Amino acid sequence: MLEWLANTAMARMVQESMWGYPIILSAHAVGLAIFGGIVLTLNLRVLGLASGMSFTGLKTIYRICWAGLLLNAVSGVLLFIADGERFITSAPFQVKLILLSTTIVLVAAMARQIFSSPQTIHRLSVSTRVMAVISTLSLMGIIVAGRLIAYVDGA
Amino acid sequence: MGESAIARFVLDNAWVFPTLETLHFVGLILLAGPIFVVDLRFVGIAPAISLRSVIPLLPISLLGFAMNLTTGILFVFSDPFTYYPNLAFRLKMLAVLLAGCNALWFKFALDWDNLTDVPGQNARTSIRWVAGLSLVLWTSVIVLGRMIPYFEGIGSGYE
Repeated sequence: MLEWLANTAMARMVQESMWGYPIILSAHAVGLAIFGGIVLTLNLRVLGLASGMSFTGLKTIYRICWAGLLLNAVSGVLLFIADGERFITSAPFQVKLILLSTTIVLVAAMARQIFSSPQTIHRLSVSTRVMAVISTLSLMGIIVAGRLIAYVDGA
Repeated sequence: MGESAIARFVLDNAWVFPTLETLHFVGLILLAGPIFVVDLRFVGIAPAISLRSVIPLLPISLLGFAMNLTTGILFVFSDPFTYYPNLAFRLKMLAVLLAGCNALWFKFALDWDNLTDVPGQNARTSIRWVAGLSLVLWTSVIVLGRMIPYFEGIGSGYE
């Protein structure tokens, strides 16, 4: 299955065109900046930084983080199909996907709390703050694991 | 530079380079996240946020910049002859320089005393352009940085 994927026209384009791989890697880094950057900023706001920023307004900015995630899902899938057999056995890659899922669930749950009821704006619950801390840590974990994919050989 | 103690430390310990790269990525989101939010707001997006309220985010961007300047200098120290002639590296440094000048322009052109606490108000047109340019320049910095390994051997012609 992964071998078949690596032989598809799409995968070949990524592997063989001189600029395919670096362009997709660049898109992956830009997507990280958008998704990671906005999530981090939102978490800092929840934890008390720039507390003058209204959550009503932040909701617009927050939505943009999903555009960053989409960019990275697309670029990530393209990077994956080009060399699926290496990725699937790579421990850092597996850890990265687990941490990514954790981050997505936490950010979505946190957003539900802070953007739904206006009365929570001034008094954020402890659980919201805990989610902000944990999703920041898992975001850092995604970066560490992602970088290690290039250094740790698959099993 | 390539013979210095710093270069030896980076090159002789296998874990140092990946650690520096990881810190460079962490610095990237610290720098880019807050600056994107500030720039998007000053461009005119999310007007429900007051212009003044985003300003406390800026020190976080500076922290990210300091991290990436430090890790970036260590990269160059570890392998100066690879980085210096590299066209993507040179263009990235140019983009960082332009983004820095652009940030200074923002600092000096903005009327800090009359920055509004009221939602729904926008900055004047010239400041909106500065903010838009900042988004473009920092995005170019990210792309050019990722391109450096693929420009190895592609010099600027001036090395």
